[in-house]
Amino acid sequence: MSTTPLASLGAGFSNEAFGSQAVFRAVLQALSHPGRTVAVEHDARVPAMGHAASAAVLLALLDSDCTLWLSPRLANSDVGAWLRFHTGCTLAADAAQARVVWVAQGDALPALNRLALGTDIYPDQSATCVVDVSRAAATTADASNAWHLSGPGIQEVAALQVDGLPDDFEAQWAANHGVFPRGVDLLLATADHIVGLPRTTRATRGATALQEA
Amino acid sequence: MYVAVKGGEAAILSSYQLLARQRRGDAAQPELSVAQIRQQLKLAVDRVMTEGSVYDPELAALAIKQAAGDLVEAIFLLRAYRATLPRLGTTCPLDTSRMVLDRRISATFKDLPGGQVLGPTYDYTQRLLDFKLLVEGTVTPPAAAAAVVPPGPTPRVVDLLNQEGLIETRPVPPGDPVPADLTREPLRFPANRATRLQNLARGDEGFLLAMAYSTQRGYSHSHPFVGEVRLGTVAVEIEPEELGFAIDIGDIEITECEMVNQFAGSKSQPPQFTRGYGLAFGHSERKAMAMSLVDRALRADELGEPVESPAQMQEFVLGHSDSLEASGFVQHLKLPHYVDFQSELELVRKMRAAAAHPTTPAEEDAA
Repeated sequence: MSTTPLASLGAGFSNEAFGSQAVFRAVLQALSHPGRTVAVEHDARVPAMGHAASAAVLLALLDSDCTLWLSPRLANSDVGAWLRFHTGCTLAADAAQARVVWVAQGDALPALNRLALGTDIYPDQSATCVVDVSRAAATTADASNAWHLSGPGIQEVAALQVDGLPDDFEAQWAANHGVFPRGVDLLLATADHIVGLPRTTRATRGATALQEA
Repeated sequence: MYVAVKGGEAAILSSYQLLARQRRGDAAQPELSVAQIRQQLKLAVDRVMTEGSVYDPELAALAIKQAAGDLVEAIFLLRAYRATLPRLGTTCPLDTSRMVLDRRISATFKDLPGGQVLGPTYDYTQRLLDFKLLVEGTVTPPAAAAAVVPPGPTPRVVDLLNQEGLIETRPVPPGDPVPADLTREPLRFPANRATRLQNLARGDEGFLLAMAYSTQRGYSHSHPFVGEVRLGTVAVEIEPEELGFAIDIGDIEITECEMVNQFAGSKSQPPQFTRGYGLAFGHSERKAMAMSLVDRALRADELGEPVESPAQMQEFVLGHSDSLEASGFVQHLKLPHYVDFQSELELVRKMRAAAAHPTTPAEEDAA
């Protein structure tokens, strides 16, 4: 097994405690207020492949107890070595075995119902997916093709413009919502922002969701 | 419901001062140094390391000093410190067949390759208090003689002398999973042997000793023999990925016990000798031996033996072996339970009133 020379790996947070705490708070904000774009501020020397915000989030959250699955573009880069060196995480060959899934922009999101969904007794033992997207921005509810998010943490409706989700995402997400308390949670990431989509959030596409019945 | 103790901050600060005075004792006596504890209370240090799950004699000695000799409290201190330490990696399994032996005995085989080495032990002392030790400087141990230790690898007795194959062997199967870590995941039942052994290694020595004793007094059906007890130092190795080979990062002193027990056989297995295993940091024979007896007892299920005694019951043994958990729950009773008690008081009053003035069923229905 070839190993990346250590000298070529970028540094992690300059202050591990404060750096990871700040990123953790960003993730907390994102998952507590689904649909809100939250900036991820950090000083880690992230790898070239994959969004910087995602790399920082995983650097903060992963540890030696976590299994991580990387999508092909990421798996073929030094991202795995960087995260394994800094966090001690294990790489999983099969996305279904991983507790954290990172999908690069342009790679296909694995079918959500194939990932770890947890059990009824331990629903938290499920996968968290970080998905790199080209755009995830707050928008107005009547914008075309906007996603309408509702549920805990959202006052009525949050509208989001997202480029980079698969075409069948609405159906997949509805199915994920249906298996609650099991299911997966998502973090959409741009280069420097994240948006949280916990499994409690309902997401529908287009203006039709707001029409009165 | 626990009531917060109001206005107690001053009391608590006073209690710290009283504790500090109690810990220090008579100031006319020289203060105990951590180095002295480490050297001269070695066996206490070894126990604290074992149950604290940290091999650091200096930290264990510090914990003993801070806890004024209360070893369970010292173990708590060390475990709390352990929880703050970053985890850098996992070592290779210790190879105890390459131990540098200070002591090695067997009760099953008299003539061992390498011989029986008695080493330092209280086993042959008369247990008479030595009043010379009341005064410093009166007992000077002789200088260390050259160690008479068998050179080279020292295979375990039960591996060496198993010519007829009557003692079970447990080769590691390919693809054997990494053991779960009880300090990272909760204990769930049924627990596999690796998890049970970890629990026992961290378990309270007194509790395990009593459980082991019970297996010898009929609360189990084992007929144990000490296959081997060995004390010595082993190398600790890690295999960094960048190197691709194992490197030695230091030595630790450990005590290992292999207990050999009779097994009458089952439908699927012929009669043979089965093994119980015990391992502890430092020189801890009582702990290693007790652990090996309880390990064997807990294998009753796996070996198809009827589970009838407490030492054979996983939930009983593993659930009560941890001194922190046990001490915590027992001592939590000191916390205010005022509201609980009030409701009990009311209940007892009602029950007494009911007993003093029994109502007929008709009166009760009317009430």
